[in-house]
Amino acid sequence: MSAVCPEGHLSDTDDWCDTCGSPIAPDTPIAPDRPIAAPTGAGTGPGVAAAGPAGLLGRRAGAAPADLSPTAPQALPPSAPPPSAPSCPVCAEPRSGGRYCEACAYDFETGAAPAAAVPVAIPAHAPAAAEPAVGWVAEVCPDRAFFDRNDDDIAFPDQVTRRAITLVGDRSVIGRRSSRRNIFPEIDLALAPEDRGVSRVHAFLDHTDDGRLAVTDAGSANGTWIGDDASPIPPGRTVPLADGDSFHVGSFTRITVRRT
Amino acid sequence: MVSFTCAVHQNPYLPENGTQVDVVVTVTAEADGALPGEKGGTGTGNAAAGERGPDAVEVILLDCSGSMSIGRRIEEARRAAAVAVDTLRDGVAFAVIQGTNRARQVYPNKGLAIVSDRTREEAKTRIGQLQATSGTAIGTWLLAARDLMLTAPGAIHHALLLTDGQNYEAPGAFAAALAACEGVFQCDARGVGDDWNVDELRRIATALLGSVALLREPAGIAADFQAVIQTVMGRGVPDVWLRIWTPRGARIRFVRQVSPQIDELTDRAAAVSDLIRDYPTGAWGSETRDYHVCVDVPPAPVGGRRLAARINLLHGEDTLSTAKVEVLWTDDSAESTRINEVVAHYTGQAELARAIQDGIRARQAGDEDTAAIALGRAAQLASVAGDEDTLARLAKVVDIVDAPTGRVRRREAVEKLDEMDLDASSTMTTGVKMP
Repeated sequence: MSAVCPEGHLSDTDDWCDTCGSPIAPDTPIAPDRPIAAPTGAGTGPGVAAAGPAGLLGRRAGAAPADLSPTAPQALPPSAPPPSAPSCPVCAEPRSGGRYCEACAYDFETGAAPAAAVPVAIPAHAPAAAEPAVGWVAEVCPDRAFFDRNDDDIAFPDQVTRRAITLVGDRSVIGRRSSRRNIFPEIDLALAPEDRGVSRVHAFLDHTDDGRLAVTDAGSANGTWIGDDASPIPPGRTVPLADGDSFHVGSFTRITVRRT
Repeated sequence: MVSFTCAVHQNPYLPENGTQVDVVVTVTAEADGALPGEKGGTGTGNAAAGERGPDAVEVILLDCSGSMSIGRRIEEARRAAAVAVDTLRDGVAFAVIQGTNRARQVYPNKGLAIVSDRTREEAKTRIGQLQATSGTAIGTWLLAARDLMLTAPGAIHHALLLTDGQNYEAPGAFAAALAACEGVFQCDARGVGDDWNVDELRRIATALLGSVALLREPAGIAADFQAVIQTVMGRGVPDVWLRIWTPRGARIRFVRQVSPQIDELTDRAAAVSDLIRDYPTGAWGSETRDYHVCVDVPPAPVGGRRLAARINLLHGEDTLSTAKVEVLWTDDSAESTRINEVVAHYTGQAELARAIQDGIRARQAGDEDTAAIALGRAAQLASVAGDEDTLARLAKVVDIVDAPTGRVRRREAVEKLDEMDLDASSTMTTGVKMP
């Protein structure tokens, strides 16, 4: 359930805006299932788009209004009756009770598809469904050599699987999903093989309109290591990346970025 | 289970263009069933220690450096450790470490033992054989405790540290050890005698969300250990965080626990997103704590309202309680200049702690004038707060001529223990006196 505040922000909380803190009137119309194309300040009229019963509309893939900052426990009512489907319609993993499928991150509440489609922060001014002209893909792969440099009690995964995630919007979070803490990283290392050495919010990948890409460590517990560097980058320091660059996070994860 | 409630104390009115919002959030945790510790030494613990692993880990770190052979220190430390072991609840995981210039595990030989009548007796036998030798390297003791804590994830992790001397470690090594332990376990630090460094133990207590205290007489160690362990055993909820959301453009000036003692949390934040930060508060039993949050928010026009902060109390992934800090802008200066008395009280308590520490530091540097000004201010603040305990401790370090006006005179003979006591107790606060 999303609301639009008087300033035009899409908010996951319906009492006060979760971006600017402005009060959201009780009769604020429910937001449509896409970001507002052009916030017009006072006169935004989302009522037109939200013609249907919004609660039943499926959120479109990639357009979930998840600002990275929703605190809203009320956005996920713990008492909500579980939908009838006992297992995930995409990968058939039995549902654990959370909102998202534990295996593929399918969103049971909205029916949003998994993979790159899990909540991506799209600023309200972004064109809703435009394909990025210059895009990036992050390739995630366990890296034995990096793993061997660490001495923690995490085991190297039995199977080395490679995943590629298309980066959408202007920022992707690298982390480990926590549905009840409302953390839904675009690059989710809770997915198998889970890397428990990755912090919930570990690092950010910023991809700007002009095609540049940079990584910033978010104050992670185990650091973000560029290439084969002997020491991690300091938290908060932004390091630009070029096509084919790679860095390491957690116990064994290597992330390589490639232009598309 | 434990239920949490939040209450907000603030003046919600801001003047035109005003940005600074001060709020004290009172968090109360109440057990609606028996907390694990309430059954004393028997009962509930065993079940908890079953398949799920221990629900609590206690590591006792005993200073056994050479200086502990002075007086009856080592004897009393042994006795206190034995009392602490007796106070541990069945089913809790524990270990005892002998601290010298390295850390040697006294009991069990390796890893953690689960408390039972048998392991209590075995541990006490080993403790009884401890001798004082060699030096003091507190960082290595903490790291040894950390290794043990990490073997039992998900439990409440606590260490109790006793020392009588200054730490002889490279400052970098001590700081690195402390940083490595942060977030892994909580630690209460105790000093006995007058040769330890208050600042050092306060750094441990601050980083590891514990308390620091001076034990004047070795004979007092046992009673104190018992009280500390009882408190820890009464905690049922590990690892609670304050998650603070502030609006875009806002800046958090500070987040500080102000009761029962002052703990600066500002620099301890983990950023969850641009707008959300998590602050650690450690484990909770049935208790009440107050937090002072100060945040600058972008102003709204007169008549406008804004949510200045949303404060969620988190345990793991669950939101235990939520407090909303709402502000509104007014041109009525009678409204906007009113100061909330709870906010005022704790602002004064924080200044009091700072004044005492500044005063003592100045005294130690031989700057008696600065010391008199700072300690005079402390006497004034303590007097305003009706804080008789602090006034009594101050009176042993300076002659208080007139507390309400802050007039004090330097005192010739000051016992080092009195000064250390004042210093170590400075972060303890008093609650708001109800009229």
